[in-house]
Amino acid sequence: MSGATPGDAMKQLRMPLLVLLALVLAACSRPVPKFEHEVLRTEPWSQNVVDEMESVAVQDNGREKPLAVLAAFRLYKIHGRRDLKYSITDASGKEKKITLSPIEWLLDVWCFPEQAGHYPLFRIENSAVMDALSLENDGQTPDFVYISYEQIFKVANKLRELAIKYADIDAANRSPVEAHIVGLWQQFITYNRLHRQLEAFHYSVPVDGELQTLFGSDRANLGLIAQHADGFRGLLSKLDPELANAPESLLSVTKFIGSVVENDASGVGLVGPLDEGSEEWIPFGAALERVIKGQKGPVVEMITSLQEATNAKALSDREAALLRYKAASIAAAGPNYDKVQIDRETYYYRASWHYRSIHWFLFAFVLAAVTWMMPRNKIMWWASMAVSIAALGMLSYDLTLRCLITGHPPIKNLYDTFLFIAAVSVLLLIATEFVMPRRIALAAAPFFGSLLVMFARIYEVNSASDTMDPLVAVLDSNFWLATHVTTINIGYAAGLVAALLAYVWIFTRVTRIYHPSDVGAKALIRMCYGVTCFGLLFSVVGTILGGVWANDSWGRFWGWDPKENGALMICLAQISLLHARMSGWVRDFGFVMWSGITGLVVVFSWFHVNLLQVGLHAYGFSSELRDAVWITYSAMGSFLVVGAIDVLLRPNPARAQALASASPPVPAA
Amino acid sequence: MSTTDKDSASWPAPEQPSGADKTPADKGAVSKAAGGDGVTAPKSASQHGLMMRLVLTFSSMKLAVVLLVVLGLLTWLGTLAQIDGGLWATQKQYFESWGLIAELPLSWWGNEIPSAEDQWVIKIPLPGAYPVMLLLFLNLLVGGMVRLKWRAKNVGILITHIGIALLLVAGFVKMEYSYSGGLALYETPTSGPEVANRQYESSTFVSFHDYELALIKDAGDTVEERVIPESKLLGAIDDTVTLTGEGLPFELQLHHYLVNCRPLPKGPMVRATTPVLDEPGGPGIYLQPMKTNPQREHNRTGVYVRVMVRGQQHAEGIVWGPDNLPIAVARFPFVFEVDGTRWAVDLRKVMYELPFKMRLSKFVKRDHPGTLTPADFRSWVSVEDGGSEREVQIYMNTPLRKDGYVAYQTNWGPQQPGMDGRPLGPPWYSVFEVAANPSDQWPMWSCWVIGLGLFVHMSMKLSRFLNSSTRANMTA
Repeated sequence: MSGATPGDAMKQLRMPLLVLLALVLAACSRPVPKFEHEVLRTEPWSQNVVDEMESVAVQDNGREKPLAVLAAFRLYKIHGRRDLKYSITDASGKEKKITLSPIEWLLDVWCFPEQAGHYPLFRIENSAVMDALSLENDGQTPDFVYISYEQIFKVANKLRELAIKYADIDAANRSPVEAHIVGLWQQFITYNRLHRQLEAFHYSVPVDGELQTLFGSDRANLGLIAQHADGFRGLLSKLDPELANAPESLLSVTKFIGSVVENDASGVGLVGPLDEGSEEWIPFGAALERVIKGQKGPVVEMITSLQEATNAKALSDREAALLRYKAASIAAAGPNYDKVQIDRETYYYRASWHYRSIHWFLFAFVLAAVTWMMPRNKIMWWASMAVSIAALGMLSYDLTLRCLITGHPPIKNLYDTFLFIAAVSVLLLIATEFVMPRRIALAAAPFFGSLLVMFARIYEVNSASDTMDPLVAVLDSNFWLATHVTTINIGYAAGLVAALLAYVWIFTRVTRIYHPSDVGAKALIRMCYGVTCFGLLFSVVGTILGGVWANDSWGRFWGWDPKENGALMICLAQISLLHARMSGWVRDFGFVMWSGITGLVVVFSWFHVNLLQVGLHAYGFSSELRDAVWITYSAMGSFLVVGAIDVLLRPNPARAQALASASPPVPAA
Repeated sequence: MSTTDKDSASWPAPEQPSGADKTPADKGAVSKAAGGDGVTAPKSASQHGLMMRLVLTFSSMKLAVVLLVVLGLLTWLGTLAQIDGGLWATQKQYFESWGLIAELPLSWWGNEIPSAEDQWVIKIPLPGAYPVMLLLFLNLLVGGMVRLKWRAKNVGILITHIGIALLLVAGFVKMEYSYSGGLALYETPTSGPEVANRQYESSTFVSFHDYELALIKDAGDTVEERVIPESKLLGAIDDTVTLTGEGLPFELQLHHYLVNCRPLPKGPMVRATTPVLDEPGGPGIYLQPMKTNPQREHNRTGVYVRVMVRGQQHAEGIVWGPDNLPIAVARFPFVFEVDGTRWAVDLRKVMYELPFKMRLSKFVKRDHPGTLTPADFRSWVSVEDGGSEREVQIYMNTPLRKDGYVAYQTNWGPQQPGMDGRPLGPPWYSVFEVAANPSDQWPMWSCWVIGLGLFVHMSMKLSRFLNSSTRANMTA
């Protein structure tokens, strides 16, 4: 079908309109939770300081990373969102909305812990959770509420007790409230660990006598101790081993230091390695210990500047101290500070090219929709194609940056698969459009690309673990990551694209845009067939390569592990589909349904097997992810069901006269 | 355009003329498929004898489709069954069997597996993977290679089919002729003496799963050993198995073979369900049956042994499998004396000999900084082989391949955390999996062959399509 009637065009517009509507609905914001406490930081952090602090290097989960990345993934974990929104009532009684970026939030946690402790942060979705923790609630929470760290802190013992009890229950068998409480406890611990990293800077101990003279103050804090470490050590050395002659305040300071060392022992590495040959960054407690033992240099400045950053009266003084802190941190880390990588990763998240690509994909989709109304207009076709290619370029650049930052091929965890499969799918659909410029793949490419990148964004926040963290030993093989992992994911992409084209075929049949014998419908089958063939090559080679890898790492080629089985199932679905078609067992409709089912198999293999909690490839599990998988199944399955009903009701649809006359005769191959 | 015409050349019915692939274009979705697979057409079948009909049926493409779908279904159900059943049992039931009743628990979607009686289970009788793969292999040989039209157009398909056949053969060879087990070695101390019960070098490896019953005769300076494989003992699970042997002055009766058990002293409050044996000066000892662990290597198997001399019970004892520990530990064989000769019965994991000796000179584990996640762990192993010795590194993804055996780095220890939460080592021990598999590298070759075949075929098809009138019409 080369021409379309206006009515037909309206029909074709239905899908983009629906998508737009869904996007508008999604964009509708929720009411912002109120912050009900005294505002201690009255001014926002200045942009310059925020920018500078983003790229402070820290070590977390075995990897050196920018502070902004740590802040972001901690906030996802604790808050489940990319930013923190709250409203305050200002002096004039007007409500003011405030949005904090992860780094601004983290600076508050560290420098204004009392304010940050009252941020509406922990999401409670069930009033039964509030009841279980004896937290005040109206008992009819319809949706969810956010409660603060301070609120939970008051019932922390109760929460801990319940969480330990429920953690003993198999994750799959926990009730929603039990699961929620276990999750809340983990979020609380995460916050608490972060909070404790700089907590000690907010405390001081009273001193007198020699110590008062040494510190020049009647209260000792971390900054003063670090600054006067030599003098302090001198005082300590005068003590007899039994501590019989120890003055009271010297004892309390030593006790204070002891608790400081212990306090953040499990925290993030903030100070570059102090030992020769060590790669391990240490928290402040351990650093302070070293300073007292005689460690000199920028680490002292790190501690003293942070003392000021956490305690100075004026925000500007605190900000100036933070900048000094950053300089000292870089100096302390010395050659361990990888400026290129830290700056690259800071840029990566700031620029967020994959996020930008979503917008351009959507724009390309709108342009493609316009080409449906102006089928003869080559310029619009090229416009849509060019925007899609540009967006694909952004996505590819994003992937390239990830490779440069991690030093690995593009895929090393589930998150990466979204971006990679999105890029491959778009590329595949663009190629399909060039082979068969029917404006179907033209629209499908940006649609599918944006959808997958959006899923990636949701998954990133939901899983809340840094997607660039180092790999476990068995996966740490660039050769196999580049070969097996890449090929198998290209296979996934092709399987999904083929399914997508199959659903488009069903959609056009149900909506009568195409009669099954129209050229357009036949072209869709051709595209689906071509993509399936392409996919089969990669699925089969990828699956066998996986076996070869397993043979080299575990000593068996095939172990019927769920992930292996999933890959095999994709191969079997595609091979059987092609043979069924060759043998004449399935025709267009059968081919389409089979491709659609193959798409379900891909989802099973790509995601679901990881949730079964068995086998060597089980990566962890969240109930949200499980729901998402089932929503995906349902969405895909509904096409199949509707398609089947349509074929049952109208096995032999009449051709619309206008369409029939507009279509050229079906050519024989 | 017909969706069936393009590929029919790959599997034509023998009686059709060679132009059969040029099926006339169909007239829409309603017309009957004129497929290339003429095998199922009643006319062609009736023209041949029974033998030919069988060959046609078994080599038909439709059978291939059925088999592929059944294998897919089997794989799917066999994946879900692992949630409850564990890998080993599922593998035996689904993938190493001739048939089974597959179960689809309807709770699988949520992973929330309620107790067995609450589960609503769909039962599906299915052939096991053995017959499916066997038929698939025959189907592939006859239909996909012999009966395939040998034309330039089909060269890609033929190459692909050869690759798949090679893969299936590799799988069969692996299943029939390969065996594997574990070998654990302690790091040889660089200074100081070696500790008595630590194994620093070895040329034997021990099966992870398979037990054997050893009968050992004390022949003065040496021992004589007779070994009976586990499969012969299974009858003792709910019956008595009698073992006799040439030249043996007694026979052994095995009973109460327990797949997973613990040897326990009989406490005063304990009601044992299995026989309690007298123990000199003790309260008696028995094997307490335990729930079978789906992870088979975690089961400790045990059996009761009765020694019968001339029809009379002479002695009775129990034997049980070793702990799942990689260290050489003291064994407790059942020792008895008949006519002045000492004998011992032991239930142990099957042991295999390597033609070379391995000694662990160094083990290094490197964690990701600030974490306890290993970034790398590798062993420096000196391999002794006919006088010469060389040192190799074995680490993740890089096994040692030698004399038909492959040794992989699989584990290390001790991993139990000490007081500070860190592992107790060094000294470390390193655990290798050793496998003997004649078809070790075949899958890799088949991968290249299949990849090549598919690439050739798909490229030819694509280029044909790009130049075809179909495309011209479709894109007009």
